[in-house]
Amino acid sequence: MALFEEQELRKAAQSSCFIGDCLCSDSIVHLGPLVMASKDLDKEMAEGTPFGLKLRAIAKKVEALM
Amino acid sequence: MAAIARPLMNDPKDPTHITFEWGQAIIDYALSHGIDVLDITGKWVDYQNITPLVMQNRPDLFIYTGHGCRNFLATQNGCSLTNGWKEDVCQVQCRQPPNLNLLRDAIVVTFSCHSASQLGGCAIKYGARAYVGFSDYMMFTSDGAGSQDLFRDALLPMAIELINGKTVGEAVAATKAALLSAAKQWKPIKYMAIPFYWNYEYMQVLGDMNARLGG
Repeated sequence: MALFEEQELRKAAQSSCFIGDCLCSDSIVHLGPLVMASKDLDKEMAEGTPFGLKLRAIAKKVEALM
Repeated sequence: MAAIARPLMNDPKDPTHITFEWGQAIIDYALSHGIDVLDITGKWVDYQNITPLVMQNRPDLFIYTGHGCRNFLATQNGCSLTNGWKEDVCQVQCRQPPNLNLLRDAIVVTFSCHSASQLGGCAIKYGARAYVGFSDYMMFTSDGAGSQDLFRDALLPMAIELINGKTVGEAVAATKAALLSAAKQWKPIKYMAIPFYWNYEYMQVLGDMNARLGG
């Protein structure tokens, strides 16, 4: 599930020093039960895991932010 | 007095190595504002050590920066604080008897996953004044550019505003405002915006919203 187009991503990259790292699929960490678990947001959302479904809901709310 | 528990997992890439430093920032801020801090760090953060330390010091504010499950807070050596219930999220189980009652009369702030879903409610039943945490994952990005610092700045008001004398409700409102603002700012970059908004959505406060340190 693409949240924004590649073109927009490239545009954002020009104005952000973080985007290069943010593209790494293992850059999201959490303090949950799986030690050093990292999350690939796209993979989770695409597979529709319970966690992925929650991510989709959050992604929709992010898209609606003004 | 404030107490802060900052467990460190052995893996140097574990996110506790980041939240450990967040905890140091809270300690520095508290000390500069005249608040005594009991700093429980690294391998000392386990059930055997934390139980007598909290019992003897009875902190008004208890802060935790480490892994969390629904029914306990986790360390390298199992659990540290627990309600004694069988765990149903974590792969490991905490088999220690409950010691959550030691936080009676304290305001509890946890930079951890899951614990507000069940542990927090138990803490309130045991007499904690308020419990602030997350009912699901607490997420942040981690990279060489330092994006984790942006999450630190948005999340730390949970503790900093309490040190400033604000109520629990005011501290949570300030944190949620910072998270929402960051989510909007980083909207074009989903790997930033989604974790910010996720934390905004799943941050929970239980107990007395009007509680404040010394009040």
